[in-house]
Amino acid sequence: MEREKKAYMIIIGILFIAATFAIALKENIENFIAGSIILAILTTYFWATIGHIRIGLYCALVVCIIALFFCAYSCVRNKSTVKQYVLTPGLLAFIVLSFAVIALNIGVDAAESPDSPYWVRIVKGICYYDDYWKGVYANSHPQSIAIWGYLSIKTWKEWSDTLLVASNDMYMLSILLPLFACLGEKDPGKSKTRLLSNIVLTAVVFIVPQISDANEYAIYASDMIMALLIGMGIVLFAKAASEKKDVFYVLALLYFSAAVLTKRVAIVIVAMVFVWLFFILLEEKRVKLILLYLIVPTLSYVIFDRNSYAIFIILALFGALVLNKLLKVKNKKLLIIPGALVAFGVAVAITFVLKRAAQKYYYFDQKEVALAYFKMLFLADKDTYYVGRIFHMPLMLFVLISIVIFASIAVKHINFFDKYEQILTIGIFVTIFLYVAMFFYLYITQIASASGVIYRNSLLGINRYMKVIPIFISCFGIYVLISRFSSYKIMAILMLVLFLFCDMFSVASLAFERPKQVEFTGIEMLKENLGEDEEIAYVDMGISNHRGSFLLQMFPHKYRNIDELSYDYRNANGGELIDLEKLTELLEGCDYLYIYKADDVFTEKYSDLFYNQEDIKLNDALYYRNAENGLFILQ
Amino acid sequence: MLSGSWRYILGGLIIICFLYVIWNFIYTKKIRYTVFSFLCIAADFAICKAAFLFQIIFILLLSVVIILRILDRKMGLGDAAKGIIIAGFTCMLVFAIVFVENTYVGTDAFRIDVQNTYIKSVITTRRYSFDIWGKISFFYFVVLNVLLYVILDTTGKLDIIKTRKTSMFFGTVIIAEFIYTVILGGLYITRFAYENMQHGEYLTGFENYIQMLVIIIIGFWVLLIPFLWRERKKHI
Repeated sequence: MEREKKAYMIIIGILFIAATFAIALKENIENFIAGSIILAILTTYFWATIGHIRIGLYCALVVCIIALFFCAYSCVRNKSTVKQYVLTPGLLAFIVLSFAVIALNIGVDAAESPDSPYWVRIVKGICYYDDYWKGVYANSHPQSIAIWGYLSIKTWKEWSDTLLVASNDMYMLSILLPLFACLGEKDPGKSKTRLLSNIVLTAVVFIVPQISDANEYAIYASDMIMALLIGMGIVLFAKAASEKKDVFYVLALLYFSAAVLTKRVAIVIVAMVFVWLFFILLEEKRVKLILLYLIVPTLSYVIFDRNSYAIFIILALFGALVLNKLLKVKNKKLLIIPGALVAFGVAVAITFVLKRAAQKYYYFDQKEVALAYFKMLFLADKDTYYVGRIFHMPLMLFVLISIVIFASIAVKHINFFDKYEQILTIGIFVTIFLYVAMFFYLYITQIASASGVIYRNSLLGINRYMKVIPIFISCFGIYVLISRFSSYKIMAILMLVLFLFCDMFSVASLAFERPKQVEFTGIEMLKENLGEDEEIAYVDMGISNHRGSFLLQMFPHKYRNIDELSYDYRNANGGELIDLEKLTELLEGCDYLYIYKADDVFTEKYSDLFYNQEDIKLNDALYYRNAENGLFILQ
Repeated sequence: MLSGSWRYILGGLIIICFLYVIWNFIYTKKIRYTVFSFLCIAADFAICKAAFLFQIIFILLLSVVIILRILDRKMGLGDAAKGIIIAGFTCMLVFAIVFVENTYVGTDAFRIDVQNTYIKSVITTRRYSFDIWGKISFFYFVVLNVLLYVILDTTGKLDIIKTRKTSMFFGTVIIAEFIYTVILGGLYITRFAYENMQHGEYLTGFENYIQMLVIIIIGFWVLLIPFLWRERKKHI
């Protein structure tokens, strides 16, 4: 008899850990919520990779309980500190937004997320088997968001798509939360609490992830989280450098380490950003921090993802050293000849790399893909990527306008940016150009090659890769703005400008459209009776195919999607249905057949397969397959 | 630029008179303005029910806003307490949205389709567009106007009419328009779409209703001129 599982939520424990940090370090709690989540992830991730993920969960819970006692103790002994640093507007905003994100996602189907057969299935596998390596069936990306999903699901009574998506959203919101602590910190005439500014800032924080074309709060995905971790990591680093507080250096480092463990491409982006961070640390001569920034992300990537891309971080340090020495050279004229040689060398290297790519990927037209990529950058093509919703701005135009805005402010008000912010601003834009160049190379080689003939020139996935760029610029821009102007009117202008860039239809959908999880009747009962090796075939001839939902709901049992009958396949192959023999062949080895939706032509063509040919049910029907007698209807 | 039935345009213009009268009443507290406002309400009741609906929403909202301001001054709550109240209110609002959506729209495919079409029509230029420099949909028209107002307010151009509580008034107009849009959507989903579907289009008469709201906002800017003029005369 199964014990009734107690339900508690890890996020509450995380809040206690964050409160502990806030009280101990005397900084606002909103700085530490994401940091605490990341520490919980890192601890559990470590235990997961050595095969004992349960111990990681218990470690996290023990720390939560200790934090709870510490907070209770502080409430008694240290009331004023608790009031000042824990009961902040940021915490209240986080609670309200978390509630909103849970309530608005009730009934959501995690299968609707992009690449859900990869991302969602991995979390489901880890939760089901309680074993990281069994769940991660294809190790292409590091899985820090899956670990957070595991922690959230395991501290709840059962698997819940709502909780999975909601906990991911809460993680996403907590990353942006330090902005509340930055409100008006450089404003000389600041008052203790500003109600209206905080209210509008809550709306701003909620809207920022929607600067893309997806409803980021209703999907389970990692791109936005990675982008926000890097963007806010830069913000925290700027804050650390300006205020000279080491806590924020450590927080920024945690953010970057978490980013590195979210997607593969993050290691390269983080390395590009680190050139500038190392440059600042070298200027400040903070050797210990340089070592920390060198070791922690490298170690994380090596331990958790077990490959050697971490070499990029070391290259970043090397790059920063060179840059530092170059800028210290008194007589700039000496640099002309080496500079020209380096530029020539880089040009030769680029030509060599492109030529080799052309030789390796000879089987498709690289020039066309390159042209499509440039078109995406400079012209706002409806089918690819553009920024802004009211007017469609090509990406490069957006970047150019941002540069112009930053530059004109810097020129007009000489002391507006302090020197760290100047370096970081330049750094962000150089990183963006390097990032765009890197993806140019990736698109004309690997991505186009893997996209297949149909999607090659459509720059598959371009939205997900490019939406990172407005996030970097926005996070830093918002930080610069709100740390200097805390008036609610400036916040309101910021919020309204963001409205012009966000997909408001997806925001409205989030509020007004109630998601509904697809229901497959009889599946629960079937799952209880299905053996380990029994397989169930899935047929769905409708326009919106629900095989993703079926896969995830059937998990961990084996399922076989009869793709040849699906709408997309038939559409791409002339609309003809396959033969009875071919279908019989495809159903070989399956013990059950589930038909979610089939047209009448199905009955005409395949009635021989059924035991009772008079009464064939075509919608939401479950059949048992007997090799001799055909398909028996079960329900 | 203006198109559609004359009723709605006239209704919108009467609303502008109504706003002018109410604004004067708030400031001068003269009874004759109350009489004029009733005249405006009666006129709209006869000419354009949609405009009448907006006036009722506006009066109710304005009363709530004024009561809240008085309460705020009397109770003298600190920012923290106010924050908690607003947070509680927001959570209740989210809960109410989820509840209403589940009850009145639920899984009815027709209603879901009408709802999506309505939201798309408000946010994109599917049905209505304000044509000045290219097409701007209603939602972004409102956003741009509010942005313009806040920028003018921040740069101090509207300081001369601060005594007229312009921000409160403009804010009430915008929120009243938002409430009106939501109620209109509700009406479309529950009644209009069923009764009046034409050529497969759910939202008959959409442009008229929305254009009325656009006229109200433009009317507000136009109204600022006599107020600015009066205040200027006072200071000279």
